[in-house]
Amino acid sequence: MTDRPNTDAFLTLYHSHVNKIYAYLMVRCGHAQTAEDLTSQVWMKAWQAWPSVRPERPTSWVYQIARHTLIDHQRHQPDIAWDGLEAAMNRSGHDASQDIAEIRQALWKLADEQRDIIVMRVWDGLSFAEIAEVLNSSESACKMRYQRGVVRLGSLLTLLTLFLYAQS
Amino acid sequence: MPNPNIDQLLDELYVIDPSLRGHESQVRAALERLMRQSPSFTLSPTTIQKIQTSMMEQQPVEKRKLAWPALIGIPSIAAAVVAGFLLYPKSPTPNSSGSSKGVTITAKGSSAFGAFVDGTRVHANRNALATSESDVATPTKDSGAGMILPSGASASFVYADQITIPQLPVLQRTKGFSSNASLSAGGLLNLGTIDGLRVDTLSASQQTADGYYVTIDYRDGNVSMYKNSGLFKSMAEPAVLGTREGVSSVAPDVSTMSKTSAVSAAKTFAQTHGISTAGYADPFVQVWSGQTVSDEKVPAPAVVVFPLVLNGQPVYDESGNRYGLQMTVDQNGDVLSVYNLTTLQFTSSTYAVTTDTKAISDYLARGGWMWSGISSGAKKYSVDAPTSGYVISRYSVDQTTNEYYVPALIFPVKAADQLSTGRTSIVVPVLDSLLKQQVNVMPVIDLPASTGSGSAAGSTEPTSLPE
Repeated sequence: MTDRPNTDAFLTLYHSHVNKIYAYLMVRCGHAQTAEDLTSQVWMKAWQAWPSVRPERPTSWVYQIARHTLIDHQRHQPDIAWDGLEAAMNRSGHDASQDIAEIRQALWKLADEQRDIIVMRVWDGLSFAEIAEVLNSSESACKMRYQRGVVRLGSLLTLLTLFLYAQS
Repeated sequence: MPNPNIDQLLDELYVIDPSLRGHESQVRAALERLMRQSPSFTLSPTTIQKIQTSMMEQQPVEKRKLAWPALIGIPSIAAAVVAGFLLYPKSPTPNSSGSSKGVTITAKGSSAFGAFVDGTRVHANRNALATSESDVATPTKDSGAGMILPSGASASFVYADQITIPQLPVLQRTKGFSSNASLSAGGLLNLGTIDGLRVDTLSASQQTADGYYVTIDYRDGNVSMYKNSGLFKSMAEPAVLGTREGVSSVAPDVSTMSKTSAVSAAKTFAQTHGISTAGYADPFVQVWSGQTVSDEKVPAPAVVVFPLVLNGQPVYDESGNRYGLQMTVDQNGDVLSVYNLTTLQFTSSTYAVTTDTKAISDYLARGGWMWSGISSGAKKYSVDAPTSGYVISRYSVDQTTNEYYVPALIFPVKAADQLSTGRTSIVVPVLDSLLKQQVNVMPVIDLPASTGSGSAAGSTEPTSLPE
C-alpha cells in the first residue's frame, strides 16, 4: 500500500497538473470527452506507477505518460490531432477566430516534433530539459527543433496574413 | 514552472540562434500571436474530484494482479500477446486468408477500393522519429531574402532521363486479427447476451520500473510496446546522475552506440518475444540526415527498422523513409519501444497508373506531397534514377482509417546532397488521383531581408503577392 506522505505528494502533483495534462490532451485530440477519458487514464497510470518509480522530475514524467497515452489512442482513431484549437475558436469573437485559424494552419505545417516542442514551451510552459525528457531526446536537439520551428512558424504566419489580405 | 513571457522566449531563442535578432519583428509577432491564443481548457471541479476518487479507490501495490481475468499470472510479454489473441471474439474480415505470419495478399477486382483518396488524408509518419524537413546542421544565417522561408522551399528536385512507370497493384492492409476466440468476464456477466460485442484495445503492463506497457489494438491489428525504463531510468538513478538536478545537465547530450549492436539487440528481442520478421527485409538503423556520428556509430537511442517488402517491392512512407516494424534501442541494448507491429494480410486491386510524366516531374520538383511551393531562388538537386516501390497512404472515412500501399517511384537523393536537403529519397506515387491531390502546397513569397534589429526593423511587406 502507498503510505500517507507519498499519497500526499502524489495528490499535490495531481492537483497542480491535472488541468495542464487535460489541456495538453485537449489541444491534441480536440474532443472534450476523449480528452477527459485520456486524462483519467493518464492519472490512473501515474498513480499505479507512483510507488515503484518515485520520479525525480514529476512534471515531465506525467507528461511522458500523457504523450504515450495519446499515441496509443491515436493509433486506432482517425488522425484528428490538434483540433482542440478549433474548440478555442468558439470561445472568442470573429477576430480571434481568424487568428486561431491562421495559427492552426501554420502549426499544422510544421514537423510533428517542432510543433509539439513549440506548444510545450509556449503554451504548456515546460522547460527544454523537461521537454527533452518527455520526448526522450536531448535538450540540444529539442532547442534546435524549437528554433527551426519558430523560424518556420514566423514565415508561415507572415505568408498566411499576406495571402489572406490579398484574398480579401 | 510558470509560463514564460515574450521577453524570456526571445532571450532564450537568441541564445540558441543569435542571428534571429535581425528578424525580431517577425519572430516576436509569431510568438506573441501564439501566446495570445493560448487555449485555456480546464476540467470541472466535479470531474477532478471524480478522477481523484477513482484513483484512491485503487491503492497501488508493488505487484498487483492484472484486472483482466484471463491474464492473471502471465509471466512474459509474449504470453500476454498470445492471451490477447485468445480473447478476441471473432474475425472482423471474412476475406482474410488467416495467416498471422509473413505477408499474404488476396487479389480483388480492379478499382476494388473505389476512390479511396476521397477520404481524409492521414499523416503516414505521424509518430516516426525521423523528421521530414530540411534538417541542416548549422543554424540559420542572416543571408537575406528567403532566410525565413518554410524549410523545403529552397530545394527543388529534378530527374532528366526517361522513367519507367511501375505497373503494380494497390494494396490495402486488412485490419484486425483473424483468430477466433470468446470473451470472458470472469463469470460476472454473460457477455454472449450482448450482441456484436468486440474487443477494441487491451493494455497490459509490468508494474515495475523496468517493465513494459503493451497495447493490443484488435480493430487495427497492431501491437505497440513501451518500456518504463526508457522514460524513468535517469530519474530513478540519482546517484548515477550526480547532485545537479535534471537529466540533461549531467547526462551527455548525445550518447552513441554502434549500429551493429542496435540491430543485434532488435533481432534478439524479436526472437525472444516471438515477433515474426517474415515479410520484412534485413533490419537497419534509421538515421536523420546529419545525425550519424560516424559510419558505424549513431546517437542513442537508435531506431531500428525492419523494412516491409510487398510483392517484392520496398515500402516507403511519404517522407521518403523505409517503412516497417520499428524498435527503439538504447545504448544498453534495451528495446525501449516497438511500433508498427501489425498484421500483414492484404488485398490487392489493379488501378490504372499515370501516363502524365509532367505531373511526376512537378511532384518530384517540390519534394513530395507535403512540401510548400518552390521559391524563385531554390537550388535544383539532380536525383538518381528511380526504382519502383510502394508508398503507404492512409485515408480516413467515417471514423475508419484505411491503410493503402500505392505503387510509387522512389528517387534517391544523391549522398552528397542528403545533408543539405535533409532528404534521402523523394517518393512519387504513380496514381493520378494522388499525384494531383495537392495538399499543403502554399504560395511562397520571397521576403526582403530585415534592415535592423528590434521593433525598428524594416517591415515585412513583400515585394510581390501571390496570384
